[in-house]
Amino acid sequence: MLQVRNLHTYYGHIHAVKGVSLHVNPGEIVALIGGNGAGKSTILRAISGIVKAASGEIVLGENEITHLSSERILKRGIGHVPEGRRLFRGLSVHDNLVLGAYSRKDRAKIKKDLAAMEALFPILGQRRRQLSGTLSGGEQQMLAIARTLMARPKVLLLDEPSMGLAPIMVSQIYEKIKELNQTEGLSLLLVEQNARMALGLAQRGYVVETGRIVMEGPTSELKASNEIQRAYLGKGYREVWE
Amino acid sequence: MSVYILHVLIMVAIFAMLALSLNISVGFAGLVSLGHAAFFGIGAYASGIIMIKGLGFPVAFGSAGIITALLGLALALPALRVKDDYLAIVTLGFGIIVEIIFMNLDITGGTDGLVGIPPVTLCGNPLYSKPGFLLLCVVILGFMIVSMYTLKNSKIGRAWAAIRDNDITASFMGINIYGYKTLAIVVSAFWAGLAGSLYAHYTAYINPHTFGMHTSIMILSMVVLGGIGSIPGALLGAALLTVLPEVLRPLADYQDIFYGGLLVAMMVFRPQGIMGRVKITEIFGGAR
Repeated sequence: MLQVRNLHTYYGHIHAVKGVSLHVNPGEIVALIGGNGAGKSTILRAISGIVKAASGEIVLGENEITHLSSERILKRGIGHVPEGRRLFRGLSVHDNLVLGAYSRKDRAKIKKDLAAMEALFPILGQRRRQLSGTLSGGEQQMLAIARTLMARPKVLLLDEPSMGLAPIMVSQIYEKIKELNQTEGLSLLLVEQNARMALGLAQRGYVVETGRIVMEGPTSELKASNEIQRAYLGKGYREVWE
Repeated sequence: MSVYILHVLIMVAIFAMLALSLNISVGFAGLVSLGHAAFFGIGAYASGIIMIKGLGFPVAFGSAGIITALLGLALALPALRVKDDYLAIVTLGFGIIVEIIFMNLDITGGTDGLVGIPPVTLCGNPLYSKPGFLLLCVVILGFMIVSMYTLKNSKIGRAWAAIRDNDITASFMGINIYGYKTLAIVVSAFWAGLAGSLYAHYTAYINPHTFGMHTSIMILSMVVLGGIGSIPGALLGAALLTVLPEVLRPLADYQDIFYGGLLVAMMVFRPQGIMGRVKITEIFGGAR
């Protein structure tokens, strides 16, 4: 479905992503885990065209999308839920959702999808006229996801959906993500610092450190790995090795 | 109605058009402009010169809008590479440059201004009567108000609202930010050009000083006072700031103190303007 081959990106002189290759199969949930500044978000931004890839290839289905504009990439079917939600805080919940469908022209279907989003996240229906900046953190995250879904992506890039949320909210959001994947067959590339949640949900995972992928495999294997348990799952050095 | 009252009402209508046109770029799309009077002037000079050369009012009026829109495009293409405060400075520079150009070209009459601009003609008959001219302004203003509401609630208006609120996120939604910002400046310039045309044929004499920074700030104050992004707000702001100096005329030199004090009080107690929802600080510098 989505393939990234030998991707390099730079922020000025800083070489942020150093030759990353990864893929997402249709209907699959893939997790990218790693610490702060590892380059996870940059990989997502390069895929959705917000950051330019210096070299490498990004392929969606059969088509190369590496050098397309972000508007084109969205139309081809890659939706990106940005880190920190980035809602239109001065606009209503409804307007945010309508703007999510900006790249589409089929009015009748957009209306249907609006109703579908309000069914999926009932709170968004109740708060339809409220300014999105006044929602709680969890509600904002739901709105950010729903807004991107309004573009009807085939692959959803989710950047840190658990950031700054209460644990109960995190589980609710993860339930919804799982539901979308199972009922709609949506493919997901999930970036998380909360490695436990991400590895619990995804089928496969990649571990990113300083711009490189240092480990990959099915999540069951990653969860069993000693280094990952120690570095990302909070097991003490002794518990792991003794 | 006395001639004086009619004159004030005509100026209210022309400045209402200017405030509404600036409200497109500042209010709808969040692009601060400190040089809007330049567009007003370009429309006025273009229309005046075309009619002096012997063409009819409809041609002059239409060309004023189109020429101003094209110069708006010429400003927008380079200027929109920067944003927020930097954009404000670029538009300020544009306003000053245009005023200096008016002062130095032969065709604009230099610092003496453009003299002997013919009045508006409708179906070949010159329109000298003030009530008639006021009616013409009100009809055009009415049409403009309707088109502002249509624009605000259109897909274009939503894209502008998204860009004003958060331009990076707007690009995540697949909105072409540069294109829509350019469009906002062009449409804004077009309407300011039409207002300029009416003004030129009304006063029959224009000079560069009218289209300088003072007028730019005045128009921006109307939008800010009325409430950024609000259509009735822009109308109210234009009416207040056109009528108030007339009412305060007995105060003579002290009127600027009152006038400045009013604006300061407004910013302190109601920064979003009389009818607005957006504070100017959210547009300047994009703080949130």
